[in-house]
Amino acid sequence: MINTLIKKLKGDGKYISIAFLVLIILSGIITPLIINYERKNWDSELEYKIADIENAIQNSFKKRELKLLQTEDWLKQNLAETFKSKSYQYKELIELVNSAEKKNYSLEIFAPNGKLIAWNENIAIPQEEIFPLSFPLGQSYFHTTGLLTYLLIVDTIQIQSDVFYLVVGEKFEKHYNIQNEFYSNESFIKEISDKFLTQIFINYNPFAAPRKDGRIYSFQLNNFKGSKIGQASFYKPSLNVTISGIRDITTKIQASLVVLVCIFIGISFKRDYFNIKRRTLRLLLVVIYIAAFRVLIFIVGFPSLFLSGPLVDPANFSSTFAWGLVKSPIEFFITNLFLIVITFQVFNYNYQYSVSDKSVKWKIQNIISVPVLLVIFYYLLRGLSSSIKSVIFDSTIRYFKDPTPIPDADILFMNLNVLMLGLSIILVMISFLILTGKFLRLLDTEHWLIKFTILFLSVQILGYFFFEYLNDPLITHVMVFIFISLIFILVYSIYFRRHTLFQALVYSTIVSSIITVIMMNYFNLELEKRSLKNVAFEIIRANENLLNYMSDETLQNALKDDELMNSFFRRNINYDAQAFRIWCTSPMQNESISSGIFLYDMNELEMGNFSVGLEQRYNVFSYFDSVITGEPNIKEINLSDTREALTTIGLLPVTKRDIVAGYVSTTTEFNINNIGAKNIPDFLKSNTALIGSVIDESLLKIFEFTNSRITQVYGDIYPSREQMIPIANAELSELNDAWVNFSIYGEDYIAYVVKIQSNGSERLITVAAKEKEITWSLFNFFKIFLIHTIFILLLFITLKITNLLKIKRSFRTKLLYAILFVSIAPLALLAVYNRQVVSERSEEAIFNELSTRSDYLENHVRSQLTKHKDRILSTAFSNAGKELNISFSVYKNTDLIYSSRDEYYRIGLFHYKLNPETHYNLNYLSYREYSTMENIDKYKYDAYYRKVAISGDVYIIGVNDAFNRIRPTFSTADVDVILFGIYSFAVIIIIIVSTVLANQISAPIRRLTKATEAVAQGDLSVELENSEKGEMKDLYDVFNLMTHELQKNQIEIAELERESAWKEMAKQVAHEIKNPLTPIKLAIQQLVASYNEKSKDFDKTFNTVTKTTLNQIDNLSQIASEFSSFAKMPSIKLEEVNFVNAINDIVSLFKDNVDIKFSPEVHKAIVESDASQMRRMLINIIRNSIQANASEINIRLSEKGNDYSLVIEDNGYGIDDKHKNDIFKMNFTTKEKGMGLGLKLAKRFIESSGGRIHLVESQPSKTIFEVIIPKHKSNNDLSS
Amino acid sequence: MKKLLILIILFNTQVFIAQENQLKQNLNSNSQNSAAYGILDDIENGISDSKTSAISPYLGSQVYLSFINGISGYYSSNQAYYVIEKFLKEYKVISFRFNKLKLNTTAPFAIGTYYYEHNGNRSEAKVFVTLKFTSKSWQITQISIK
Repeated sequence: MINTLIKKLKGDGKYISIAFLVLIILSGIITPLIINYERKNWDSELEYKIADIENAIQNSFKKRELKLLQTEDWLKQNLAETFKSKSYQYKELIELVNSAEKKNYSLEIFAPNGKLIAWNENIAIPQEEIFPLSFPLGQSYFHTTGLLTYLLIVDTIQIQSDVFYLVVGEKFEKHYNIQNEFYSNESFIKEISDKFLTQIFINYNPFAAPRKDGRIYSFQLNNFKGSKIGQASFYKPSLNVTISGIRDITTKIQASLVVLVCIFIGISFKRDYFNIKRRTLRLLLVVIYIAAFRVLIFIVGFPSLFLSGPLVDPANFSSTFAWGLVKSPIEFFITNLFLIVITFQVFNYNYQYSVSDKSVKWKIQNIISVPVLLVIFYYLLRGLSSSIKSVIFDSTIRYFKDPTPIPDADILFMNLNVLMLGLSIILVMISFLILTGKFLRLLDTEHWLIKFTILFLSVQILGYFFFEYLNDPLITHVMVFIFISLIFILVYSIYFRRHTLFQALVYSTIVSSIITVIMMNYFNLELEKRSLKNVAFEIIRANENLLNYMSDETLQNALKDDELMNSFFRRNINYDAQAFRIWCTSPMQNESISSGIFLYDMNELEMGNFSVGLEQRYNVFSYFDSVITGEPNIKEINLSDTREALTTIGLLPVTKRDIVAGYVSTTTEFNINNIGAKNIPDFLKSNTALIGSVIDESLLKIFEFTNSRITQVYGDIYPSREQMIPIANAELSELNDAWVNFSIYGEDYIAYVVKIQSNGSERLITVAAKEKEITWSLFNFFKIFLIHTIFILLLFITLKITNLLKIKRSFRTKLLYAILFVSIAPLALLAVYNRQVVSERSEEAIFNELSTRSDYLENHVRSQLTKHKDRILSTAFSNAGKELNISFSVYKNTDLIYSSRDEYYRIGLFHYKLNPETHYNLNYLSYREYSTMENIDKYKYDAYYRKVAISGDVYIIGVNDAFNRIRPTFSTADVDVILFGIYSFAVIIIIIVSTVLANQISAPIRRLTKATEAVAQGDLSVELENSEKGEMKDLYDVFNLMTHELQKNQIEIAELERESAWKEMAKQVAHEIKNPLTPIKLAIQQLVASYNEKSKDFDKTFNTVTKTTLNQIDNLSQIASEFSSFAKMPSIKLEEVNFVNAINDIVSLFKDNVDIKFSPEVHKAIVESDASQMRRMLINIIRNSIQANASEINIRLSEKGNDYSLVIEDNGYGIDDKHKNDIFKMNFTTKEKGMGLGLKLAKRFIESSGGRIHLVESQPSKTIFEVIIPKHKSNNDLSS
Repeated sequence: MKKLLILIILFNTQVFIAQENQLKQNLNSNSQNSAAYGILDDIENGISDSKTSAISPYLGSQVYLSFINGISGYYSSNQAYYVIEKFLKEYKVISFRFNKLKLNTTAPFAIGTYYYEHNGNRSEAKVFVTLKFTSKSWQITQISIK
């Protein structure tokens, strides 16, 4: 029985589906049992789980510690090697410590006197903090600075008689978190919390006590020597979470089983499906199956359940369309995948219909369905526009903003989605257009051009009115015209050029790409326009409430921050770092707003702070008459009535047992000048800095009018009163907003204007952006088109590999590839070279800019010191920085002595020690200047250092573009835009020109090939019209001469052969005839003699002689029969022949000699005949037409009951009435060199194939022959 | 006397009209306030029941969302629906209510505390919701859960 079941399962998908269904039910039954088991045994389970997590955390820590120990060994070994060498140089030490393979570690070497002599970019412990040692030598321990905790080993190495100290450390925990793309998360806690799905806490202090919370389990973290170095804790696993986890697993299993059920149902009905004869029914069934499959897997949450990240992030794309079938990029993809399967089926159905032999007759239902088809056609175009608009608008992905041509994976994925969606809809549109044309009989082959033009114009005109009538057409009339035209080109190529199904698919994909990319560009421009509105809202949003909320939220969070609260009761705390840490996690950083955190002691003295972009400092305590403890105190500050800046301050007293230990204060400031986080360094900006999210903030101009007076300006232009007239006169809508176009200094701007009432004042906020340059549009188009091209190429390769797409490797294609290669390769090289040059120039420009700023600083400081001899250096540096508005640092030897951005050094984000590379070049090699790339996490910036001598001492001035914004006149991004846009355009032009050239160059060769093929088929009458020049002319002449000579020779040979054959035959006949004649002669002589002699045996002789004579006459008759059978036509070799292909072959032979058209009404016509004789027959008939001076030959093939009818019509001089009855007779000819065999043989051949030929009519300029040939039975199978 | 009477009548009429207008404005303002209150109430229920459909009718064409899971920025109402739905699914609400409301302003707002469970951990976040009156109704302009 089991074997029978297995056999059934193997053989039939239905049973497998049932098996999966049973599994679904079983999983539903088993899950509650497992949950109950977990509930009952939870206590013992919990112990195991806790032990598991503890072991796993310990193991994770040990692994990291082991790597650190290995690094220490590596350093020791290499140091010993380095110092052992007699030719040891300082450079080798620097190189060793800065080795790329150990760049993630902190490596420091201290001389025996405790001086730091070599270090890399990650300084874990500064020189002044290493002694006294806080942990035994050679043991790992945690070392926490303000923002970071390192796992550290301090050890010694003896080189000869000297003992060197070395420090090896690894960043273990970052105590701050910045929300932007530059931040790299280095957190052991996060790593293991994510791994074990529970919240883990680690106190990196060897004296930390275990947590007392009963829900939390604590354990010691010991180093490899067994010494405690920290305390780890985690929430004990909860039963609810475990149960929820079990349910999640069951849901996933069930979802997978549902998918398998659907697949196997499809497979099991495959055979039944193909047995259905009605194609319409088959199409309907497949559509229902695919649609049901999609809906079902959507309901069970497949595949979203199994994925995380950008593919399922609704922020990347989500639409409420179709109840959520496209609620994330992956759901959109799955829907598109199913949609494309359905639409391909529809397309294939129509394709087969369009190439089939069914000629459509006028039917009322066809006429009625035409308007319906057209309305759906237009709605499909509208639907596609709407979907693409949704892709642009319902997404945080900015397809065009980034100037780099290489997109991220999520952009690639969404582009694939767009292409698939476009293709699905375009395939249906093509199908509907073909149906419309067929139903209206506007796709007939007769006068096709006129009819096709009528169809094209009708669809265009109706399309115009349709989109004109729509309330929200979404796209312009020009776009509608272009899109419909492109679809018509596809219809033409599919219907009239008879491309194969898969060729049609590739062309449709290209057109879909063009249409969708144009739409994306168009809607992106709209989005950019709307982003101006967002910026205006952003300005309005930044009101008192928001600033209040930010302060409140920050202070509330501070209250819950144990580390901060405890810091008020401890010593040696880096309060600046604490303030920075609080700021990083506050909404202030998230919103990238000018703000600051200030920490005060109980005596209201500042202990530390961190602020960005604040225009001034406030004495916070002076604004509060009384301070409420235990909650944030927040106040708005009005400095003037012009509302130049909106400022809110907050104050939170930190208390313990009702005694105030200190204060946390916040300041938030909103000013249009600072919009887009202008005053915040890039590496601290939030990745959600809103202003620049759609449109580049550098393109924005913002003007704020208060009571008709311009109060604030953002951007690099300050307009005059006249220039502002269009804004002042803007007609506002009922929502008090308007769109305005205006020009300033010859540049066109578009602006969104909104009026609001605020604190009794009338504010008019204007957000404007410059119209885009043409290079951007080209860049945008090609940026997406290139991605689509990659997908199209992949489709092309797939079809080619699967042998679904066949492309002839002709001379023309080879020539085209060669021309393309020769043209595009230098262009690409030129583009790369240009980019390289500009990139170098750009780097040079940055270097020059930084160098110039150093010049200014140096000169400014010198002049100060010259004028004011007693001025101390730090004051001179400070003055120079403020007056020149340059941020810089000054080092003496290797240590920082001044920085205009001191706060970043205080918090520990920048090191006080000079970059090791710079130190080596300037201090050791004595270079005067040095430029390098530095980084904070993933943020890279250019840094320039210069050695200067001031007042007899040597200093190093450092200037970088992390704090000084430098914009080279021509950035690499600009170059990418230009190169990519213009060069891509050039490539498209090259492709078009190359195709035309390849066609032109290869045309004579193609003609020659066809002519040669005709000769090979036996048609020697081929003559090439020679309008060529040069070698081709000679070749054509030689070819014509050759065919002429061949023809002449053929005739001569034929005559000679005929003569020789006749001679031979005559000889044979004579010889054979002689044989019976001799006995006849002898017999008759015998009879005559007997008669003359009046012999008595005359009667006997008579009988014998007559018998012999008759016998010999029989012999003669037999000889005659034998000769007759010897001279008969070769036997016919019957086989299945596609009549259409045979005609096409012959037609192509004569194409160059005469205007010959072949219009088959059937795609395939199988007959049982002899292929070579059939070709010979066709050649005979067509050659007759040409010899009758016909300039136009029309060949039609159609179905006629059980036969095919081939009608050949020419415009030659026709056949005289008197000859009409003789044309099929042997030896009848009217031609000078004719033999009178052609039509006779044709008739004989057709009749031997069971068909017939007859002359339908003949008159001057019109002769029609009809050939009737029976269908082969396989045709019936095909049509069924 | 007649003139005085006419003047008094005119004056009273003016006063009456002015008061009427003021009353109408107040009534409008009150009805708008109560509408805003109703919407905030719906939003509160929507969040506490994790029902995005209760919030979605009030989402403006562009909503600013800022959540603890890193979501931050302007979203279309379509996107906002699923962004909120995904957030509420991942950060399962334990309890939520607004504890501060300000209605008599051009941009009414409400602040509340959102207690949630995420990956087996319980925690809390502050919710900040602001509304804006468009031509016909109040719409959400901002939801912050941090």
